[in-house]
Amino acid sequence: MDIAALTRKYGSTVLGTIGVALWLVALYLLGYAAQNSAAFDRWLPWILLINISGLLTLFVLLAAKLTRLVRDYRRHVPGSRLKGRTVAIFSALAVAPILVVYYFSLQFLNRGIDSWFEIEVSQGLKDTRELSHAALEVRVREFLQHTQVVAHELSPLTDFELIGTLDRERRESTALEFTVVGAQTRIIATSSDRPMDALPAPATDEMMLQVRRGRPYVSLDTDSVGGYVIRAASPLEGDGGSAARVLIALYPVPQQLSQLADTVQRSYTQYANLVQLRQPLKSTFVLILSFVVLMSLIAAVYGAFFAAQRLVQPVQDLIAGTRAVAKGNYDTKLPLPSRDELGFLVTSFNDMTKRLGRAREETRRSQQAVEAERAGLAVILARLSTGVVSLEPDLTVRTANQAASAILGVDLEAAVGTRFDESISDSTLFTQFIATVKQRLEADQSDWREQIELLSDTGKRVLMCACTALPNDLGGAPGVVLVFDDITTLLQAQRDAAWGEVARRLAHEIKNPLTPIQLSAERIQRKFSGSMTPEDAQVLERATHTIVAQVEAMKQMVNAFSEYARAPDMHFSRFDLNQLITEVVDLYRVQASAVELKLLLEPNLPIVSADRIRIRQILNNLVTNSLEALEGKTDACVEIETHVAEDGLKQVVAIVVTDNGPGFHRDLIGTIFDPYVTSKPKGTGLGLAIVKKIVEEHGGRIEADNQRMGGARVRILLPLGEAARSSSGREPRKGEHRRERV
Amino acid sequence: MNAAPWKRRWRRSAAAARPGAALLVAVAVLSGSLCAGPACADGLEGRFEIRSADLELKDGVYHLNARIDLPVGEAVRRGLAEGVPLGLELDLDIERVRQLLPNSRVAELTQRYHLQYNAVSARYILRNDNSGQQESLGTVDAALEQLSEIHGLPVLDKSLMTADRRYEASVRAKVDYGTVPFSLRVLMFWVNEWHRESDWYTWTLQP
Repeated sequence: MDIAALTRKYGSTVLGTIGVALWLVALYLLGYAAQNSAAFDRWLPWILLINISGLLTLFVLLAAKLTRLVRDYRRHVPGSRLKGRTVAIFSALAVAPILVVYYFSLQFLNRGIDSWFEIEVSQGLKDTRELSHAALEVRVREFLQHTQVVAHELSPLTDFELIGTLDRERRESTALEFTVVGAQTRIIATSSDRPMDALPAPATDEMMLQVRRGRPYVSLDTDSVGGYVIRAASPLEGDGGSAARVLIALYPVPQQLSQLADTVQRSYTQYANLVQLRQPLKSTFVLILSFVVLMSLIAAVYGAFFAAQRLVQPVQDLIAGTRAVAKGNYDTKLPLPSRDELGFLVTSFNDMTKRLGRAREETRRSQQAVEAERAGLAVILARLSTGVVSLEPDLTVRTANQAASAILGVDLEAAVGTRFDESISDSTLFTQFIATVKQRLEADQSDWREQIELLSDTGKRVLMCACTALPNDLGGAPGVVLVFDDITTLLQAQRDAAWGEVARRLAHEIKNPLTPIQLSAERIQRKFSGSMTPEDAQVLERATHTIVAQVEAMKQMVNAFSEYARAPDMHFSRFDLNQLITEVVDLYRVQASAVELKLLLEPNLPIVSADRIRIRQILNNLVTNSLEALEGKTDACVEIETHVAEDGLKQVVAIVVTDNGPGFHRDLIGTIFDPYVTSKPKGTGLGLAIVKKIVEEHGGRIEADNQRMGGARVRILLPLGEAARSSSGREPRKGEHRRERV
Repeated sequence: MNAAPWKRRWRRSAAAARPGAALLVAVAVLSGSLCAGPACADGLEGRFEIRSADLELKDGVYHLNARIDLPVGEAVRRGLAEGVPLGLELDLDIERVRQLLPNSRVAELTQRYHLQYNAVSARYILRNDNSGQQESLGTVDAALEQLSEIHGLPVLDKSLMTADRRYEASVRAKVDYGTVPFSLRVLMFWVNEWHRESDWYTWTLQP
């Protein structure tokens, strides 16, 4: 670990420890400084600064803690109440003893300092002072008397005589100095035993004032080196009472006595200083004690916060973790506070969340697998051509695929969640289907299979429907799944194939004998008509004519069958459909002038790729059918329309031929494209069957129905582009050419 | 049984207020103990100022004469009589006045005096700490009168001053009562019973 990381990790701890240590040292020195001031005079400001800084820091920290606690308490932060209560208890436990100690410390402090100044000590010092004073007073009186005697002796002397006499008098006594001063304290004569450089003791104002009042002066003074001297002054008599001349005498105090007096004086002074310091010292000690107590109180409360935080933090973590788990966050991992019971609780919580997370992950994976399965199933269902609808027990649509919607002509996917009944759609086909299904389900038949024939506007539809009960693990009523297929086209194809086989056999088995029959009948007529009577010949001629005519009719019928049964070669080419329609219709305009032929052709119709001859045949058949149906009608009208349309995902060209004739017979509408189905007395019933066959060979689709306003409508949908070519599956053979029949 | 809502609130608020209440009690005790201390002590009191001051030229030397109002009441007088010392410090500054520039100091003098009662001799000893000279006085009034009257204190030779220049002389006095240690003064900085300083007394001087 590098230095920067160590600094980041332990920097604050080290700084805090140093700060606390410095502060404690400063606190100790503060108390010490009050008693030993001289040693700490230089450092006292710094000591004070550190202490005040420490106090302010603690106060700010405590205020921040308190503010945060109050804020958390008001916001109902988890654990804040417990923390507040813990802080209060810890604070009370810490503060109460501190306050008690503080109170008694104050008492002891006051009494302790007061005890320094017991009255016995003070009185003893006073007595000592009085004793010293008394002891010295005797000497002072003696020296005063001696001074007065000397002054009396010197009084008669002149100033000049004083000089010699003064020195003798001083030598005969124990005086240190004799000085006679005159007016204005002018020195007249002096004699001194003191060093030569010492000036005569000056006459003070107090001294002169007292002497001039006629009273002797004496005082015990200290000299500049701390010793004691006795100063006495007495006026010289005979100066007219004006005390113009004054004798000032200076007497020494014995050294032992002087030292004793000095000791007494020092003790007295020290005691006086102590008395003076009594109150300041008390105040200072109280101040420091209070300062320490205040810091201890704040530190105790701050410590209470710290302890409460340590105690409550795991609980707060647990609450936060529980909330996170409740919100679904199972990755929550709580820090392990310690190895105690709380640590065990946190460990258990972490294990629980870990297991929960693992279980949730497994559930999620299972759900994903199920979803993937379901998505796959949905794709399969969507791609199925079989309709699948699953229903709840209460017939609510649970799922439905696209094929179901396409088969029933109803958007069942949009109806998921609604009831499977007529409310979804009122179309004829769907209503019949619902009626059939409900009949079964209401009869408690959940497993059945049935071919259902339904009548729609476009004809009969045949559905193969199977119903199966869905498994229900929960034990409730099971739902059902309906699986159905539109087998109309299949059945039609089967019928077409059967009819094709019939037509082929008819063409093969019947057409061959017809020519010999016809030739035989003609030969019989030619051979025997001349030998017969005219009556018999006439009968023979009618009979042979009938045979020939019927054989011809049979030939035409067989040719039509042959045409239907034959799988023609397709010759695809790209041409303009509108142009072809116009050409075909123009041919009919001449021969059917009584019928209005109306064209509604889309101008921008794309070029189609189809067998032009076959398409012309389709148009001829359809127009012919319409014209035949309109025979004898006054305002007959045939309308041919082209437009581009959508058929599922394919783009197609729609050719719609409508007339205002009687329309298709309702009973025949489902089988109108079957062979031999016709409402015309002379029709073969193969016209629309051939049209349908040609359309299907182009990959298209044909529908026939009646218009609401009357009249038939045939709608042909031809695929555009390569779809038509690929759907036919046949290419024209090389060199094969056909002439287009008109 | 659940308590009434107002009781619960009161308990909650009381619990939250406990640390604060403890602090308040501590501060109150601290304040009380401090106020009960120095306020009752006897010390310097009253007006303290330089009432008058001037420089007198005598024999080519300027001498300071000053009159000081000392902040000495009865309590201080009693204290003096019991042996508590009284110190006086006199600061004198003489500066030459200059235009646009700070004044230049010509002379600076600090004179210290010390007054203390000698219990054995029952005399008040006034000592000049600069010269070592001392004077013995019989009464506290005489001693205080002597201390408050500065007369003929030589401060500056006239030759050090220029005749056509203007000078400013300033005097300030500091008085110390007792021997209160520096630390106590710092710790009880708001108490001025032991040490006082007068304002500067300034006058113009034209040599």
